[in-house]
Amino acid sequence: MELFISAARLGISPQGVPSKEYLDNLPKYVETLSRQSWANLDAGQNQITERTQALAVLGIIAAKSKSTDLGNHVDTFLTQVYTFLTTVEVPQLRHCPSLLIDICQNVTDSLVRRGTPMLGINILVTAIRQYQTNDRQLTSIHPNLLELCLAASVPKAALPFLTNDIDDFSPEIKGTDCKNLLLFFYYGGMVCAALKKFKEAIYFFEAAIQVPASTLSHIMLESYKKLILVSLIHTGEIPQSHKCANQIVNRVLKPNANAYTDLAASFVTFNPTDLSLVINRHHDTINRDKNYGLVKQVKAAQTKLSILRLTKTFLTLSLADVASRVQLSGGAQQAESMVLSMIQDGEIYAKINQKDGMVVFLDNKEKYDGPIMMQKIENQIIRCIDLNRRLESMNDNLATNPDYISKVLCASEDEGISSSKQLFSV
Amino acid sequence: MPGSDYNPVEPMQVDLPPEENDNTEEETFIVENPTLDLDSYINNYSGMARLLRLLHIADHCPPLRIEALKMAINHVQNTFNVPMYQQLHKKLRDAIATVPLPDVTGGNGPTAADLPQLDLQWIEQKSKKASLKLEKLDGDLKNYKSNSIKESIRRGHDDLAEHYLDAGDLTNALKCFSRARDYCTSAKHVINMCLNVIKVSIYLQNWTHVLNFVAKAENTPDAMEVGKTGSGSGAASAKESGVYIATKLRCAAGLAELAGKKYKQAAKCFLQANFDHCDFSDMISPNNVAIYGGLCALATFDREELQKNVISSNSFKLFLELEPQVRDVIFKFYESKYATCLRLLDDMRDNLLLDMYLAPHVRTLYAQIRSRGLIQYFSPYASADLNRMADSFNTTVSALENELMQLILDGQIQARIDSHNKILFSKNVDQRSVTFEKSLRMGEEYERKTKLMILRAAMIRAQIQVKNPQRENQNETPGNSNARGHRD
Repeated sequence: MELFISAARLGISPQGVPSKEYLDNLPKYVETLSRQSWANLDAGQNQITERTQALAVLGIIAAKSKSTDLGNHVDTFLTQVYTFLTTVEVPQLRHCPSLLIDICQNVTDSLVRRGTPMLGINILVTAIRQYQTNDRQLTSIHPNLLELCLAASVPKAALPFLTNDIDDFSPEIKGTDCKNLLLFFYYGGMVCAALKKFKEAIYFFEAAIQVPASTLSHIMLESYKKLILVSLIHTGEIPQSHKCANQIVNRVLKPNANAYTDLAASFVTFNPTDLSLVINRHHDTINRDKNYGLVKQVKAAQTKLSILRLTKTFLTLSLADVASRVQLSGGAQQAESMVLSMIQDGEIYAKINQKDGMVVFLDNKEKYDGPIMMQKIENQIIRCIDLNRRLESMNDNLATNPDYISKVLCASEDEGISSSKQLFSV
Repeated sequence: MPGSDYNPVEPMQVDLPPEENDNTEEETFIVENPTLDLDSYINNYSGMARLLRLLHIADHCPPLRIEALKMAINHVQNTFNVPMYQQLHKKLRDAIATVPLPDVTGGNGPTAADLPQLDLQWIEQKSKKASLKLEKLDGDLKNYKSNSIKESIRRGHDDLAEHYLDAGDLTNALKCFSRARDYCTSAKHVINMCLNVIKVSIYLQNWTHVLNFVAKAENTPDAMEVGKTGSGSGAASAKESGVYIATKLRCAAGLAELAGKKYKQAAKCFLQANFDHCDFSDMISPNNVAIYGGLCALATFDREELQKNVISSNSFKLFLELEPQVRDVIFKFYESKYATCLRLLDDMRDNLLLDMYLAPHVRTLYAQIRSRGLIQYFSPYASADLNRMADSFNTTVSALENELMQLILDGQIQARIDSHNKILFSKNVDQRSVTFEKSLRMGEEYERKTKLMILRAAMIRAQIQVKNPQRENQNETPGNSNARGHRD
C-alpha cells in the first residue's frame, strides 16, 4: 500500500498529469491491491488527500470493486464512489478510462447479483456525465446503466441517454469488439419497448443488427427476434431487411429466428387462431428467449389491427359482425368494449349505435389544417433540416479529409482520363 | 376441392407429410367428374409430353386412372423407357386393386382377365437393346471425337441425347443436349440445341433453365433472320422457319412464366404464338395455348388490353376457336355477363385441373379473374347494391362482403361497405389528407433512415466491427448471460 502511494506521488506531477510509465503500471498495481484487506484499502484511500492524486484514489476504488470483500461493504463503497465522482476533476478521470469502466462494470454486476440494482443508477448517471465529452458520445458505461435500469424496472431513468442520437464513441469503444455497443442498442431497445415507445425500440433493434459485422453476434440475433415482435406490434408489418445491413447477417439471421419469422407470417394472415397455434408451437423457444410478454402484446396488436382494417372497408357494421370477423371469443360485448377503447385512444374513428348494435366508422377527423398539426409538421421539418445539416457537415469533413482525397486521386489516376474531372467534383 | 378423404395409393404420395399445404397443394386435389375425352385429348401430344400428361391424369382422376395408365403403358412400350414401364405397371395393378366395383370406369371395368401381366420378356429385350444402342452411340461419339469433326460430334451428342430421352433418362438427355453446345457451328445449330434443351428442361420442369435458353435462342438474331426469309420459300421448310421457332420459343417461355406465377408475362407470351406454326406435340398443343393464354389474359389484363390483344387479335382468334369454352368465357367477361362467365369457368374447372401445367394455378387464376370481374363491375358505380351484385357473381352477400373486403384492403377497389344497408359506396379520397399523411410518413422514414446511416457511418469511422467467432464467443457469452437475466 505504501508502495502504491509513493508510486503515485512519484508518477503524478503536481499539476495532476500522470507519467506514461505510471499509467502503464496502474492496472498491475490495482490487481495487487485488490487482494489486500478492505480496512487496508480504506486507510490508503484516506491517506491520499491531494486533489491532484485523484488517479490514485481511482486506483484504490477500482481495487475495492474487484475485492472479494466488496459484498460486505457495498453501501459505504457506493457512497465513496459517488463522492469521488462528484468531486473529482474530470480530466483526471479520462487519464485511465479502463479503471472507471471496470468500476462501473463491477458495481453493476454486484448490484444485479444482490438484487438491488436501483442503488447504482445514480452513480452510473454521474459517471457517464463526467466521463463523456459530449451528449452524443457513447461510452462503455451506457450499457451498464441500461442494464441496471431494466433490472430495477425503472426504464424511465435511462431515457435521457437514449434520446440523444449517437454519433461519437468514447476512445475505449473505438476499434475494439463491439459487445458494449451491441448491448447498448439491445438494452436501449428493451427500455423503449418497456416504455411502449415502439418506434424508438424499432430504431435501436435495427441499429443493433446494422452494426458492421463479419460474423453474427448472439446479441444481434436476440435483437432481430425482438425487432420482429416490436415491429409487428407497432406497424403490423414484417420489418424489411435494410440494404446497408451486412449480407452475412441477413443470411444467418432469418434461419436462426425461425419461430419469429413463422409468427410474423401468421400475423399478417389476420387469423387469430392460426397465430395462437404458431405461438403454442413455439412456446418453448419463446419462453426460453423470455419474449413471452412481447408475444402477448403481438397477439393483442393483431386484434387491434384487424379492427383497424374493418374501419378501412366498412361504413357500418354490426357489433356481432365485428366480433365474428375479428374472431373475438367474447362476441358482440367484447367487440363493443374493444371498439370503445380504441375510439377513446384515438386509434379509430367511429361511433357505436347501441340501439341496433351497429358501429359506424368515420373518416379521420384530422384535416391537417389546425395549429397543432402545423406545429407538429414544423417540428418534423426542423428535425429533418437538422439531420441534413449533420449529413452535410459529415460530407464536408470527408471531402476535406486528406486520406480520402489521396485515395480518390489514386483511383482516378488509374482511370487516367477522368482524374481532373473527379478532382473538381470532390 | 382438396379431397381429404382421398387416400393416395401411389408410393410417391405416401411419403409426403400431410401438413405442408404449400408444397402438396398440387398433389392433393382430386377430380371426380371429368368431362374430358381422354382419347382425343391425349392424341394432341407425342413423346414424353404424352406420358407425363397421362401420369398427371392418372394421379388426380380416379375414374380415368386405369384408362390413362393403360394408354401410357401402350405408349411406353414403343420406347426404351423400361423404368417408366415398371412404374406404370405397378400403378395400374394398384389402381385395379383399389377399384371396388367394375363399372366405375364407365362400363368396361377390369376383370381378372384384364389384369395386365408384367411383360418380363419385353423388359429384358428392351433393356438389352437399349444398352446395345447406348454402347453403339457412345462408341460412335468417341470415334467422331477422335476425328474431331465438329458437325459429327454435335450429331453424336444429339443422337445420344435422343436415346436417353427415349429411355426416360431426362437428366442425361439434358446433359448430352447441352454438351452439343460447344460444337455448334451455325446459328441454326445453336437454335436447335436451345430447342432441345428447352424441351428436356420442360419435362424436368426446370423453368429457369427454360427461360435462359429461350432468351439465348432469341438472342441469336442470325437464325431468326434466316428463318424468316425461309418461311416464305415453301412449306417444306415450315419446321425450320423463323415463325415456327419463334412460336415454339414463345410457348416455352409462356409455360415457364406460368409456372413462375407471372401470369401477365405468360399471357403475353402465349398471345404471340402463331396459329399456323403451332405444331409441336412434344411440348404443348394449340388447345393448351388457347386455354393458358386465355385464362392468364383474363386474370391479368384490363378491359382495353383484353379488347386489343385478345378479342381483336387475329392470330389468337384461331386458337380460341379450338376451345369454344374459353372463347365464350372471355367474351362473356368482356360483355360483363359475369354470372355466365363464372358458371362457364366452373364447368371447365375439372378439366383444367387435369392439365399438368395449369393445375397448380387454377385456383389463383380463378380468384384473380373473379376479382377482376368484381372490380370491373363496380367501376362505373358510385354505390352498388350488394344483393344484386351477389346475384351476378353467383355468391352470397356475406361471401361477397369478404371478397370485397380483401379487394378494398389491397387497394384494388376504392370503396367502403355499408354492411347495415348492404350497399357498397365508392369512396371519395381526400387527396389533401392522403398527401399529408404520406408526406408525414415519408418524413419519419427519412429521419429514421438518416439517423441509422449517420450512426453507421460513425461506427465505421470508429472501426467498430463484430469480429471473428472465437473472440466473439468469449466476449459474447458473459454479455449474453447478462442479457438473459432480465427481459420483459
